[in-house]
Order: sequence, then C-alpha cells, then structure tokens
Amino acid sequence: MRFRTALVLVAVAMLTTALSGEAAQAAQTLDAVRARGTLKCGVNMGAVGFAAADSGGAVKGFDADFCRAVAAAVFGDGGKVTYLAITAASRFPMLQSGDVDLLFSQNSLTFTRDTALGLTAGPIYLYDGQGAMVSAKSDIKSIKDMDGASFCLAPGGSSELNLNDWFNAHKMTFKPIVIDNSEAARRAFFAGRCDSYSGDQSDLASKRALTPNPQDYVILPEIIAKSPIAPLVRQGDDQWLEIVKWAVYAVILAEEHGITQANVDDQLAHSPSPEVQRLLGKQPELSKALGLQPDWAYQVIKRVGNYGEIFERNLGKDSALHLPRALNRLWTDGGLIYAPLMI
Amino acid sequence: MTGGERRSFLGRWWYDRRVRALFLQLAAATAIAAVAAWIVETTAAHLAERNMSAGFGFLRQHAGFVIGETLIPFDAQDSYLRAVLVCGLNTVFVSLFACVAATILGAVIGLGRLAANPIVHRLASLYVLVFRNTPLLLQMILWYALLQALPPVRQALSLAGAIFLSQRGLRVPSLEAQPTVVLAAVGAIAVLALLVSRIGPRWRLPVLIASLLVGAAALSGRIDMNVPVRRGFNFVGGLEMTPEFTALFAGLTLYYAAYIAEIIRGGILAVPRGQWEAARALGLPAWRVMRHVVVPQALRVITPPLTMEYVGMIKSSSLGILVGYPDLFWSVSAMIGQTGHAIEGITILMLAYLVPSLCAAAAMNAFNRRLLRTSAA
Repeated sequence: MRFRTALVLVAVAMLTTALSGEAAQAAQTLDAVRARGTLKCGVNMGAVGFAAADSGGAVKGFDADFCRAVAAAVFGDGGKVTYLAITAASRFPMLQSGDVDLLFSQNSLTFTRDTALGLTAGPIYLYDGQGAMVSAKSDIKSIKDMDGASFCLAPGGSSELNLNDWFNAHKMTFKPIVIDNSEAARRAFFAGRCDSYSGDQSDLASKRALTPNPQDYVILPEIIAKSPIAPLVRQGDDQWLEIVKWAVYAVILAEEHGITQANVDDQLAHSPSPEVQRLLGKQPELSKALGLQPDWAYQVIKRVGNYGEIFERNLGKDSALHLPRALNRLWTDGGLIYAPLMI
Repeated sequence: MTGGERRSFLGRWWYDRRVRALFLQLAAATAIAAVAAWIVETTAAHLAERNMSAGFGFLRQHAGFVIGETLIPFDAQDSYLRAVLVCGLNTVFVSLFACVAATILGAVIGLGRLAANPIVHRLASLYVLVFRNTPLLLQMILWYALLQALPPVRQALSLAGAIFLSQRGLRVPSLEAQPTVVLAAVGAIAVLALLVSRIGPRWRLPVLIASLLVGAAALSGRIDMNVPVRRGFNFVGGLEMTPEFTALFAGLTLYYAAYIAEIIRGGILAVPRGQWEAARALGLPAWRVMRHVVVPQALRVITPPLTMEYVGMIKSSSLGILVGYPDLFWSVSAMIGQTGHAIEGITILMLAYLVPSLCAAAAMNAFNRRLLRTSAA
C-alpha cells in the first residue's frame, strides 16, 4: 500500500513538473500581455520619484510613467499596468521566469545584464552618474577626502563594484556596509551608521527626499561612474523589444516636436509636420511592424506626456527631488536625449 | 504457503516478501532518479531556451566587491568562490560564538527557572516568555536599531581611554603576539592542565600560581597591546565588534538561550526525585550531586533537542543579511545580484547550510551515543 502511494506521488510530481514546463514556454510577450489584459511591470517600489504609491494608493514616478507609456502603446490605456515590486536579488530572475514583462527599475545597463543573463536592454531613458551623499555637518567636500570612510550601499548592484574601482584607482580604502534591504540601508545611513551613502545621484536625491530634513544632507558633485539607466526585457522576443524601444522614443520625439500631453489633439489635427503626422498615426501601415494600433504613439503621449514633462513631473522642478535635467536634456539643447527618425 | 499448490517461477518470486520488497525499492529508486534527471534536463533546456548560461564556471570570476568584515584577507580581485568561503567562515564564526553564549546563558536562565528564590524564578520566567514568543527577526532589527541610537563616533563613550562604544560599534584593545608565542603558550597551558590533574590537591594551588608567574615573566615584552585610537572617520587598531555582528550575535544568543533554558530545565526535571534524594542520602555535597548524579542523567534528555537548537541557530544566522552582516547568505545574494546565476547560487546555499547542519547533528549524535553507552555501563 505504501509503495503504491509512493508511486502515485512520483507520477503526480512528474505530471506537475511536465505541465509547468509547458507553461513556461510562453507565447510571444505581446500576445501574453494582451490575453492577460494588463502589463506586468517590475519597478523599485518605494523609490520616491521613480515608483512610489501616493496618498491615494496610485503608483507615481518616472519609472511608473514609462510602464504606463508601454501599457498605453499596447492597450491604448495607461492604467492597465500591474506594478510588481522587485528587490536587487529578485529582479532578474523575475524577468527571466516571466513573472514580469519588463523592468523599469532604475537598472544601470552593464555588459553582463545586456548579454549573459538572457536579457536585453531597451534605450537608455535616464543618463545618471554614481555619486555619494554625506551629512552636511561632516564638512566633507569631496570623495577624495574620504579615505577610510564607511559607505552604506544598496545590495547586488553595480554601485559596490564602481566604488571599489574608484577607491582602488585612488589608492584609498573604504568599508562597505551592505544591507539586503534598501530601506534598512537607507535608515542605517540616516541614523549615522555610515559616513556616506553611495548610489546613482537620482537615487540619492530620491532617498534624501524621504527624510524629514533633506537640507541636512549633501550630494557631492563628483561622479565616480556613469549610470546608464535602461529598461530590460527577455532576449528572443524582438517584437516586444521594439515596442518598449519605441514607447520610449515616442515621448522623446514628442518633446522634439513640441507635442505635449495638453496639445497632442491639436497637433494631430493641425500639425503640418509630416513626421508628427506619421508619429501620431496618420500612416496606419507604419504601426503594423510593431503589431500595435495606428494611434499607439498618440495614446502614449496622451497618457503620460513627452519626455520633458515626465522628467519635470517626477524628478525635476515640479517634484520633491529637484534634479536638474543636465545630461537628460534633448540633443538640441546640448543633452544626450536623442531618438531615431520616425519614418 | 505450500498446500501442494503449484506456482509458476515468477509467481513464487512475487510472493517472496524479500524479493518483492527489493523489486519495489528498485522501482521506486529508478523512478526518483528518472524524475531527478528529467528535472535537471528540463531546467537546462529552459535555461538554454532563455539564453541563460548554466554552470559553476562563474565562480572563478573576480568578485569585484569588498566585504566589510572578514576573518581571512579578501580583496575585490579575488574570485566569487573565495568570497563565498570568506563569508561562510563568518557564518561559522558567528554561529559558533552564539552557540557557546546561548548555552551558557540558557543554562543560567534554566537553573534560574528552577530556583527557589521567587524573584530569580519570576525574572527567568519573564525572560523565557518574552524572548521565546517574539520573532527572531524582529529582535535582531530591534538590537540593530538600538545600536544605531548610540552616540556618533566623535562623541564615543569611552572607558579608561581604551574601550570605545559608538554607533560604529565596540572597540576594545587587542593583544597581539607572534604565532609562535601563541602556540608555545597554548602548549604550556595543556602541559600545565595535565600536571595539575595528576598532582595531589594540596600542591595544585601553589603549582598554578608559580606557573602563572613564570608564564607572565616569559611572555612580558613578547605581547603587544593594541589600543584603538580615533583617526579620520573611525577608530583604528584594537578589536572591533561592529553593530552588524553584534545585532546578529545578540539576536541569536538571546533568542535561542530562551529555548535552551527550557530544554535544560526540562532535562533536569526529568531526573527522578529519588535520584536526588538517594545521592543526598549518601552524604554527597550539593555540587557533587549535580556533577555526578543529576547532570549525566539530564544530559541524555537534553542532548537531542539541544542539537536541534544548534542546527536551527546555524540556519537562522542567515538572517544576518537583514542587518548587513556579511555571512554566507549575504555573499551568495550579492553574487546572484551581479551574475544572475540564481539557480547555482541557491544550490550552493542549500549545500552549504546542509553540511554544517549535518555535521552538528552527527557530532551531537555521536556524543549522545557515547553518553548512552557510559550511562548504561
């Protein structure tokens, strides 16, 4: 009797594994998202300015807006997004296994992440740099003064590697304190456990905005490494990658052509520019290559606005972070934000 | 089952219990092996399908990160494998200290629970009540938060200008000696212990004092005291107990001491009253009653559950990641974050926690067997 039970158990185990194996071979991402009716977007939940719930429970932020842009392109409705909170250790496995459709989670793009993990990156949508934040009372003016200092760091990121490279190059040492929970790491720094907190400058500003007295902390001007922030998708689904790329390009092109959330209808009706006409869907055959509705870009701009609007609303002068646009100005204004031609 | 009934060859085999058992066991083993092979193959196929590389080759890559506290040197140029080993050593280190401390504290609390004095008794009961009934993680985070509330490093609390307590941890002076000197000292202590156990009780104290004096004279000048001093951002020199280590160590010790106290109390209560009374009736002094009658019998009851607590402590040390102590789990997490090799990383973790836990279990089982043998004799 006991043997029979064991055999049945074995058979059940084999069957469930076989079935889950089948399910894992998902269809094309776009079909899966459409069938599901919602876009599963991995974000760094709680990062003010990037993806944090407001008092009404709605997720707001720079990354959240880009999730909504992709959802608007797919569904014509920016609200059809399910935000999934990621952690440093879980984000890549979540994407690999299909738990999320894409990551807009403050990821710096690196060679490994773009190649070896079975993932591939969309366009860089934020040009950032790694810096250090210190207490204003410490009188530290430069990272060069910080030989032997302790640094609180978020885990699993490239920031630890960059910091180590920089200190090695300057023949200096530091003591890392890495807590596997960015909230706890943040608290440890603001409690005074570390002399500094190192991370992307936009992220430092985000963390500082959460403290009751942000003026007590200074983000040092030095940048020890660049941080190209880009979305990630799975390798092997080119159509999905194109959709994510062009959702980002659409908001950049919108800013280039002066299209805003407010005037997009007006532009659609009256703009004499052929590129604007093409972007907003006057040539329906163009959108077929993406497998989307002809008005996909119109919907993106209508729901989230252009790049400049997204930036200023979440990170810039209209936000708690007050970051300057710096490198994230349009190429025509001396920045790096640049999109291909809509032809 | 004869009865003159004729059976076929196979039938006879089938009704032979031993053969049938063997056959079914072989079948079950084959099925399990097949499932295992199939899982491995499916996983490998799916990984390949998702363009993910599998295998442990990445362990030889440069780790690139540095580790806050290590027992053996570690540099960012070292491999992931070494990072895992260095942090594994940290896990062993903190678990070992916590096991010893929790046992001592647990014994004190456990005996306190048995004490006749109502204050001692109540305090010990309260301790067990509080520490056993709140989550370990919560306690650890509380200790870490309390350690953060200490004064900043510039206003560190100081004792005699040599011991400093601040947000950055506890600094105490350390004794530093050549390894040869340490070895010689350890050898001398062993010889001394042997000597003291052999000579008559009358000579023990004088021999001990004399040898301590000789030892102090021999070692003076060969041992340096390294007193911590504040330089730059923190103290340098001396021994450092970081808040991360302290929070993990204190959390494990205080939480498991409550469980160990109950195990020890239960073990002592399990010794029949008659044994106490018989020992006292023989005129044995109280400590000999304890040492020769109660403890050997109680240990038999205490050892198996105590083993479970030790194993639990090793596993719970992985919570250190949440207070930033670079233990085994921390290093593998960091590795997964950087390389994305989650399956391999988790496999390493499972094996790594399995080995010390099984070793602890085996050691305690051996001890238990010896105990049973000696007490039976």
